[in-house]
Amino acid sequence: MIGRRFARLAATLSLAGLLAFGCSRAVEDASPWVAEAERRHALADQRLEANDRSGAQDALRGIVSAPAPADLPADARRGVLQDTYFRLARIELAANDPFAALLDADRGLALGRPSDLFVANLLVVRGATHEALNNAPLAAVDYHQALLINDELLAKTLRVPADASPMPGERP
Amino acid sequence: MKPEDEEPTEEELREAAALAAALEPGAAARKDGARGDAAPAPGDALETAALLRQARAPLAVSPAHEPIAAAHVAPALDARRSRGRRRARVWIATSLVAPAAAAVWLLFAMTVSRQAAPPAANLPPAPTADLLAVQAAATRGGGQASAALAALDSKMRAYRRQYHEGLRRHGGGAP
Repeated sequence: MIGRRFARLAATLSLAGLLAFGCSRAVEDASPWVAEAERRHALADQRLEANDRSGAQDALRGIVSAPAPADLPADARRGVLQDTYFRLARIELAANDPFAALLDADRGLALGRPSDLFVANLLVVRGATHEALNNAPLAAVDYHQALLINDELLAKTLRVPADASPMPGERP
Repeated sequence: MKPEDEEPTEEELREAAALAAALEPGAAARKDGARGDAAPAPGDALETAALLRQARAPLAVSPAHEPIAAAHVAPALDARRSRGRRRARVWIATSLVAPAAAAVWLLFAMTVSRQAAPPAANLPPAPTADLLAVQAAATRGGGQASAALAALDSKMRAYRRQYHEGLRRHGGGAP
């Protein structure tokens, strides 16, 4: 009786261990997805330099349509996707397609809105899209929110070297 | 073996007959009766015969004493049985708990290492002041919005490379 109970416990714990091990392997598998995103961004850069907007869009669409690894940290996934949506929206806006740009900017912002560079970029491109659609009030709201994040990021960026530098009177 | 040992002496024959008579008194009496001179077995032959009989006979307990003997023996038997069971249980437990503990340790170690890295690793790299200046310029909108956005996209390339490189290096977490 006791032996059977122990066997059940041991089996459960062993499975848990194997699961954890499997998950650790899955995290390592996130790298190819990121590498593919990086490759596609580089390809989009090349296409844009060759004035091939459609080719650039295709390259970037491949990033947002591919399923991200389940164990990729949520912030990492969001960052990569929001940055891609920003580029897509910008290309569409430059191609005089503000509706598509608005759609992609909204898709990007729907992934989360922490105060970081990617969200600020999406707000900027959406503001420009509203402007292109003659919706000045909404454009102003987005620009303003983007500026607030920008200001916050600038404060952080300027604070880091200031903290690291020696105080007046101190030896470097 | 010496030649004289092959033939038993008279004395040896007498002792053997006495021992046989002591072991099987009926048979000896029948033989002696036939001959008509029954001699009593000597003391040492009787003792030897008694020892031999004792060794051959199984230990017998009379039915009247069986419950008493059982009552004396039962606790010792129970103790031996429970000792055996306990030992078996310890072996089973050890062989199962050791791998289970290893699995738990593995799970714990991996969870700790995973949680220790991410908070800083999941944050994107800090943007440069130049990049933020270009972004701020793009928020002004107006006639220069398109050019400002193109400049922002261009400035983002270096930042993006840094971000992706960090993600790849940290298996999903940014630098």
